[in-house]
Amino acid sequence: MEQLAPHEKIYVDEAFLEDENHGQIGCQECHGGDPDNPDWKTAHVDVIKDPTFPDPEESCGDCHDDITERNGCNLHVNLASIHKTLKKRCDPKCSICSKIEKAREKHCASCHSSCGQCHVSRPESVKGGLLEGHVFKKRPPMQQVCTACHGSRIGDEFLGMNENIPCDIHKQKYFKCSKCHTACEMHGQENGCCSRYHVENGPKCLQCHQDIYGDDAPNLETHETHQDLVSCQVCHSMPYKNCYSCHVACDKKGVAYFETKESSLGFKIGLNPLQSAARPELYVTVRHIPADKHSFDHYCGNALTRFDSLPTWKMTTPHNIRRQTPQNKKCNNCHGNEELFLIKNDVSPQELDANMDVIVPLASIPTEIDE
Amino acid sequence: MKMSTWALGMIVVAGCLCLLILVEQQGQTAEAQSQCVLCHTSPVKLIKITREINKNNPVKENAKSKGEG
Repeated sequence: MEQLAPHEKIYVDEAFLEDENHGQIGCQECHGGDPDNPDWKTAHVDVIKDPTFPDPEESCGDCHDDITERNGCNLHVNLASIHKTLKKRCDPKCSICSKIEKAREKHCASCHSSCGQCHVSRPESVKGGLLEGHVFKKRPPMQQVCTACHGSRIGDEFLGMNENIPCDIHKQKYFKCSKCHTACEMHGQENGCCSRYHVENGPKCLQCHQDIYGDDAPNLETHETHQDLVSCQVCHSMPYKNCYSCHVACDKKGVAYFETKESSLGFKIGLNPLQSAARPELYVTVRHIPADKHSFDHYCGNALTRFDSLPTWKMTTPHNIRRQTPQNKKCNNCHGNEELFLIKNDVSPQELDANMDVIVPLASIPTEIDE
Repeated sequence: MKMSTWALGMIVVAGCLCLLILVEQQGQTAEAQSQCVLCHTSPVKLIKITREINKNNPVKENAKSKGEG
């Protein structure tokens, strides 16, 4: 995404001053600094760029305490999933853990968001810049905020940026992210959780599509036959992006950078590693993530000694949903079609152990049927 | 008697309204006079300042990440 010009990043529109709630608060109340000092250099001493991170209690808590009290549980703020995943893969020795923790802080910790970095500015991880001159946006603008971070996979899929693959049908219907990903989901839940797939208020297709099980619904039989057996995406998503081999390092000046191998488009059905009452399906779509045994070798060689404790083909919910897809045009496009399933041959030998829970045994691939 | 009570009431109400308007105007004036607002709502001033900042802190060439993040 193209950055804003330096002056655009900090330009405040007078429309913001007309906001009867936020525009009436003195700038220094949230940002500090000296509002009476005409010399910008000294006026900005101790100015806080984002007063909502890490703790928004003082800036937002007076009015939005119901949200700020859950800030610590917010995955966009605490990045608990990265933390948990690394901890699970890393060698338990303290000397190694501490090195990986430092690498995590240098490379991964800056990818957080905050109240301000969704509702007032673009996220800092994409170099920031005020949205519409500091006007508070109740619903963060999709392409300036959400897909600014979630761009290479989710954004490209949803917006139809992958070659020869159409955009998500919901995009075609002018849906924005917030239509499905509500504030309840985004603001975290009280008991906390470590994965977006465990957030109670996450999107569920059936919230809008309950009618697929209605008596007169088209494809009722197909939907009932596959209910709780395959996830919606198995039939309705198009090929999506898989990423490989992320390595992080620092240059001579200590500047952090990463390198990934070329991504590829594909579609694979695997076994559901997160089967639960909420997600009972046996088959789900799986995506190769850029995790690599040697991702952190720059900081500590062979640090991820427990790498195989989590799959590298991860359950995914691609955002390029279509009513008709290559695999659902005919029953036998999927039934008996080994190519669609993640089998041993699809997994590199060094990642076999990590993916045993998601690899589909040949005997479990549904056989061809008489159409 | 009734007439004077009514007049007194009207004077009090009018006084309160004047006071409210005055307070509101004072608030707006104070905000408008803030140096933060004066500067940050002026693209000309911001361009001048950001150019000055960039001149004193030229962007250094850093290691570039490769691939999709």
